[in-house]
Amino acid sequence: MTNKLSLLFISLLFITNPFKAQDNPEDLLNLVNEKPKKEFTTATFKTTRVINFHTTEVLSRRSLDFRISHRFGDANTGAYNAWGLDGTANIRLGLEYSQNGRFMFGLGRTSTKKIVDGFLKYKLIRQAKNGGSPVSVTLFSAAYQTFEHVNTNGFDKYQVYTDRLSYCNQIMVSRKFNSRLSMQLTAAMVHVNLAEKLTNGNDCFVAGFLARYKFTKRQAITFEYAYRLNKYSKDNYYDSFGIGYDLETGGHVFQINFTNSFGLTENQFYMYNTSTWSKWGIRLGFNISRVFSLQGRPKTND
Amino acid sequence: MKTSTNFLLKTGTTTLLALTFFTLSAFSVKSQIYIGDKSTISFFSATKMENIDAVNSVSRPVLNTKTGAFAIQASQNAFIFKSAFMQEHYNENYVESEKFPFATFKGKINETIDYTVNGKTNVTITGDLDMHGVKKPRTITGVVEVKDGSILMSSKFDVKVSDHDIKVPSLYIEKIAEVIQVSFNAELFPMKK
Repeated sequence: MTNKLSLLFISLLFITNPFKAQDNPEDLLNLVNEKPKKEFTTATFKTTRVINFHTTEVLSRRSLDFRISHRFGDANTGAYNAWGLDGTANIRLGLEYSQNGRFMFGLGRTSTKKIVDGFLKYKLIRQAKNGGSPVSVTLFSAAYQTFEHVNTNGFDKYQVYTDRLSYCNQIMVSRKFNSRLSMQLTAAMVHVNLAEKLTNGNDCFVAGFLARYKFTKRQAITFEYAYRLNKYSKDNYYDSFGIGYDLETGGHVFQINFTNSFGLTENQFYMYNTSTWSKWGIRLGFNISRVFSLQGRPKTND
Repeated sequence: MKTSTNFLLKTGTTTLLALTFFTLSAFSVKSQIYIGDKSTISFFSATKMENIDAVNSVSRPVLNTKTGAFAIQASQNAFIFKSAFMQEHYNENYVESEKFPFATFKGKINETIDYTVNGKTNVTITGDLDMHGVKKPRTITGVVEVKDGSILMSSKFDVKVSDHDIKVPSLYIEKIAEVIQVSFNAELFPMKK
């Protein structure tokens, strides 16, 4: 009996001595190693746009983004027009800001059709490692107003103010598969108050697909395509399709791209593309994004 | 009668002895492990063009006062910068935290310290600094202060960026220092179980 008891206690001693191994610094960390923490995925895409289309990215906290987007003319205009470099060009200047890294807003002015746009964007769900969502979901809502004066034969096209307005709502779902590859699906709806022709509809529904492949730490190739789901016009418009190259240099991101879209706002590039890749109706374009970080350290990373 | 008392006594003594030994050993071993609940690791890169600094305040250092073994693991993602932009670049382009999520240091204090007496000791710790997938043997100087049952540790040391295979593009050489100053402060308490 005594022996049995002693044996029991001795064996207990061995079983319940978890500190034995901690003489070695290798094992010390096991004492504090908690479960891997939930970690939000960052930089699914390099900027808030891939070429023309919005990505699920929202600017980081206290960041101001100054964007210049420029599109040259159609490449199929020939040597006399320097394959589009001579024009007609379209340019958008934008100023965008986020205070908390989840919600952002932006204002922009586009030269063609003298469009002023304003948008709100909110990152609803953030992709995360270790027990988080597998995808990021971002909501987007924008309004556009054209300031163009169109007066034909004494008839003012925009006699009614609201005819100048159009809108876009989007829901975007993206996933960063690994540090190189990210993909996104977009569902968008554009509403224009003024249908250009009697036979035109006011709404256009779009399914978009975006991808990014990073081939070095600072360079990536990008891709975007938007499929229009409904017939809103009898005119020949084409789906927007673009490929691009991203180069990141510290505070700047340069995006050089080829796309058949001339417009720089959703109400244009989703709906009214008059040129097509099959007839070299593509153009060279670039976006420059310059982010100014307003300093301020948060308490945590969330 | 006599045998049964004897037996009881014997069993009782064994039990008592074993129990005492068991609790004592458990207690003494437990009390030799100290864990930092409050710690900060910060680094500073100073150049003429730009100063960059970041703070990590969630790492938990562990010290075995009996053997002098010391270890800490810092999550790269937990370094907080003044500018969110720099933070993204740090993780994405420099330390590649997706591939190498942690910086760790594991080593041993070379000096013997009496942890039962309040006082400051200048120490050296020899061990491996593992960062960005490159392990470097290092001897780091620091101060260990015993203060009413808790242990304060502090250290300042330099990390050469190229030692850990972290590449700085020529464009940023003027903005990012070749040698980063790291400072570490922690207060460690006996481990509770």
